[in-house]
Amino acid sequence: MSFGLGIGLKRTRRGGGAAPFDPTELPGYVDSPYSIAALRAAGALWQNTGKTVAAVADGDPIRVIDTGSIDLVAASDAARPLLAEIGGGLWEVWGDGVDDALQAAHALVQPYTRVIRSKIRLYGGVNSRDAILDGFTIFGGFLGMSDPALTLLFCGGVVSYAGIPTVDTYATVTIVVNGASSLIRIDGVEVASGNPGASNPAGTTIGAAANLTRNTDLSYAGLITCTGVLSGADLTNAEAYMSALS
Amino acid sequence: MARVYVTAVVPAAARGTAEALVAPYLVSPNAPGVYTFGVPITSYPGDPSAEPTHYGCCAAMDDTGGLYQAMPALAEAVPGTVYAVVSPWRTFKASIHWIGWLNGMGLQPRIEPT
Repeated sequence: MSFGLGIGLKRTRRGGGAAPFDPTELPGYVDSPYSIAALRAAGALWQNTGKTVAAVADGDPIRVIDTGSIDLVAASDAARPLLAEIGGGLWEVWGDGVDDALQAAHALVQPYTRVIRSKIRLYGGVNSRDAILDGFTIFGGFLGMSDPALTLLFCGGVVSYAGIPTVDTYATVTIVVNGASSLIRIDGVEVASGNPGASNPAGTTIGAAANLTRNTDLSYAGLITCTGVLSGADLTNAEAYMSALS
Repeated sequence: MARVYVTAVVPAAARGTAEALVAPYLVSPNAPGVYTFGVPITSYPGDPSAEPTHYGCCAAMDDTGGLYQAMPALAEAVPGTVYAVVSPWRTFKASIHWIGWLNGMGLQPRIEPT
């Protein structure tokens, strides 16, 4: 199911005069919360599990994001992140970094691609591992980030990358998981590559998880997930789309 | 009216009492009181995987709401309860207003042993 068209979201274009880029039309698109602003406009954000009270205003808590075929759900009212207006008609999910998280169970098998627009506020070494999303269920533990060292752990190796988003900085993070062709790009710059092995995600977690080694603030504007291998143009278009979300 | 962010911790032994006292003020359309104080906390410095000594929560609320107005009385009713208010809510930063706040009280979030 697609919420992608005709709801006034700022769009990028494939080329002069072409139709607006629609992330839901990417090859192998998997239903995912590709734009918080678009989902808000489509009435897909809810304060309660019964989906009777919509989250529409700045500061409203979000218990469920209903993307159409999957629900990302907070485990409790206390774990609800907040809907936040970030200007220009754009919106984000704001997590407190303590226990706010939205989760969905679904299986992905390599190859797959995720393009994420998030603002990551990290604090503290190994406790910041798997900061972008839930490394244990999405990236199989092979992706992690730490601050203040600003290192990115990928495929068992460590690379330093000064461009890793930190306090109050939005970034577009692209993760291609495809055997030896796997890679990570941040704002279009490849920062890591290698073979992550057989890890396949069993779900998506956006935000922090209390009582586990994942503690991050996270503001999050969108996530595109696709199975299969996207073309270079598709990746570029998806990244441009994400970059327009904040 | 302003929306603020409130952090609170209660002694582990008082968790049930605190949740029972808070539950009537929770007006969300979901089941109230569930996991209200769901974040385990332990002593700091020390082994972060040690058994919880406290439980905590963080939540946004309106400063004119019933729960916010009742916070002083609720804290007084449960000895050992500590809470703090961050206003406006968007200025809340976990590193400062949660980790730093807890550390200042000799506490830290509990992390499951790996």
